[in-house]
This record gives sequence, C-alpha cells and structure tokens, in this order.
Amino acid sequence: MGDTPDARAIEAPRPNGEFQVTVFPDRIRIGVRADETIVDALRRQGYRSRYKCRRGGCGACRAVLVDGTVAYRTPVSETVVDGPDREPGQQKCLPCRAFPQSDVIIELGERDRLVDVLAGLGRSRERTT
Amino acid sequence: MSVLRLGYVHINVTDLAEAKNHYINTLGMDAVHEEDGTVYLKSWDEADHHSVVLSEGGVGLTKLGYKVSDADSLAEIETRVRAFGATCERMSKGDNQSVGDGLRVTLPSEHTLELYSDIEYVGTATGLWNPDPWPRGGTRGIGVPRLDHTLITTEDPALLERFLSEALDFQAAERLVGGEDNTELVGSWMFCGEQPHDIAFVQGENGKLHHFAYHIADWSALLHAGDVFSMDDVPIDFGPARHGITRGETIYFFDPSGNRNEVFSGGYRTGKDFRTITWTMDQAARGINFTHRELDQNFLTVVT
Repeated sequence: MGDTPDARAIEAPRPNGEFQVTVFPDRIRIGVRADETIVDALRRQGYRSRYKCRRGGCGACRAVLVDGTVAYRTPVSETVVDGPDREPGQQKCLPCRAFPQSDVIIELGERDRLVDVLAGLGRSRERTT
Repeated sequence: MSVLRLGYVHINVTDLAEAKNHYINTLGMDAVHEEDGTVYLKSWDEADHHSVVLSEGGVGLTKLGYKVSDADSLAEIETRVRAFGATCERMSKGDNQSVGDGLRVTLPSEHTLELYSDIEYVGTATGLWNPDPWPRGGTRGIGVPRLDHTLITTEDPALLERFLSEALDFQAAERLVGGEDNTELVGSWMFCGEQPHDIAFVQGENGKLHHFAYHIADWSALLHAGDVFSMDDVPIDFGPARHGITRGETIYFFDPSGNRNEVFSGGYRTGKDFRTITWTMDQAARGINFTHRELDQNFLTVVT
C-alpha cells in the first residue's frame, strides 16, 4: 500500500451513478443505472436487442463480454451463460440479468443487431466513433 | 384403461422466492405444502393436492404426472410400456408428496412421466355443494383455474407419437408434417380425453420443456391475464393470439427462471372418433400463430 493511484478511480461510476455500456458491432453507447440490467437500460432508451425470457433462463440474449465486469443479483445457470458454442478465453454474459460493475463492452451475435424502436419519433442517438 | 389428464408438472427454478411470487401472486395459485426448497401449488378449480411443483436449483422440467382412472389401468399400462421396450419402474406411495403408488416411465424422448391414480383429495375452492361459479373471496392476479397441457421437445417425434398411442392410448388431434408429399413428423398434439391436446411435442432436444399451460375461461380472461402480465412486468413471448393448431387462444410468457408458461382458452372438443388434422410446414407459422402468421425463431428453439 502507498501512494499508488487508486485503481477504483479508473472504473469509478459516473457522477450520476451510471456505467457506460458499449454495444458492438453497432458501437452504440448507453448509460446503465445502478438498478438496471443492460437490457433494462437499452429498453429504457428505446432500443431492442435480441432477448426472450428476460430472466436468464433461455440464453437468447447471450453476448460476448468484451470488456468490463458484470454481476448477477439472482442465480443464473453457468451452462446458460456459456452456451453450447463456448470458445476458450471468451467470456459470455446474459445482458437481461447482468448489472454492470464497471464500464462494459459487449458484442452481440453475428445476426443480432440493436434496433432503435423510437427512431421514428425523431430522436437522435449518440454513437461512439 | 384411461389416462385422464395432465395432473402435475415438476420444474426447477433458479430462485424459489421469485418463483413463488410469480406462481402465487401473478398466476394466483395457492401453496399447499412446502418443504426442503420445494413448493407444491394448486389452482382454485383443481381438486387434487397439487398441480405445479417448484424446486430450487436450475431451470427446466423434472417430470410430468398424468392421472389415470384406476389401479387396473396402471397395471395394463405397465404391460404395454414393457411390451414397447420403454423403461419403467413402480413408484411407491410417498415417493411424491400426497401421491400414491404409480408408474414412472422414461419416454423415448428421455422425459420422466409418472402415472398415478391415487392422490390426496383437497377439493376445489368452491366445493361440491351448491357451488359459486368462482371463489367469492377473490383470487390473486390472474386467478388461473387449472393446468391444461404441456409441450415438450423430442429428437424423434414419430417414435414418441407411436409410444403415446400404443402404450397410453393417446390420439393425435393435429400433426405437423414436412409437406404434402413429405410425411416426416415434426410435431404432434395428442389428447387422452376430449381436449384438443393433453400433451404435445415438437422436434428438438430430448428431455426439454417448451411450455406448460393453464386453462382460462375465454378471450376476455386472456386479455385480463395480459393486463396482469404488464402490471407485473412478466416477459411475453407472443400473444394474445389465436392458434391455428388446436384453434385455442393464447398468451405465452416466461416465469422468473425463464421457463415458458402459457394461458390457453378456447379450442374444440375431440373424442375417440376424432379424425386427425394435418398441417404442413409451409403453413407452420399460421398453425402456431394464426393471427400474425409470423414465427420468431426463438419460439421453437428456446426451451428449458
């Protein structure tokens, strides 16, 4: 222990308690509140991703956890998180049940895309570069 | 011999407290018995001890129970199951809470199916003497009256259909086949009494649950159920919609562990003289969701 920089500062929550979640491949960045799952936050901000049961049981929302850490407040089955096509060194997550514990990057499956269901209402979206 | 109906469904849930809240407060079932992380539930219009059993740990189906008219029928079924070459064993009184002796069969689809004729009689909420049409004291949430049917997945639908027909005397109300010139069976909806289906199965992974369903009164009750789902933020799979197959009306939804449930109303009446209806794969979307004629890929692939 000493005067080394506090590691927590790097992953400190935003002033309003939010973490940033970036969704690949579309590189859409959203704020996720402390009491929200990633899917909850996407829905609140007008997006829909692929999900089904929203309860961590079906695995439909499974995404690659590219960076960052998430926590599950209710039990989820490891076999559902990892899925059938597990690749070594690759971490998966279930966005419908995942609460970010840091800024997070997830990557959706090849055929999965974020859909902006409120786009027709004229709202513009922040996109990362 | 006769199998009467789907009597009970045993499922695993990841969080027992959340699951109890769903089945008791959203669906309106009553907890009848609880021990060692397992809860036994019944609906208000069911007379037997329990119909849905929740156990903490994982997701998915543990076993199905179908009630049989009497002990002689059980013996006859045992003979037929053994003749078919399927695995079965005698089940003793007490193996299941409040359930008597019976037969435990491993289906060709690897599901465990229990058959029994004796189960503790509890009675419906309205009783047998000059009953009210519904519980005057009210119900919680949707207030589901009873369990209706289940749909499971199997690698070999034709084999499972033959087993249920030959060993248990089920008949196919509706069959989904490859096409007009392709008789390969994709799914079958089978009945033992006069409902459109008591058990159904589609091609998929062995041993898995697609959904189990509650019967509710009518289309109006179905929309009321939809109101409750929104109030309680229950994820909807699809509906309210009409099924082509069974002609029933439906909302599919998920319990807090991701097990799929259904509320089902309507349908038609079958019976021993019912002639099987056939659907072809090019019309599968209409068969499953007649209203929208659209099928989400997940509907057929997401099972627990």
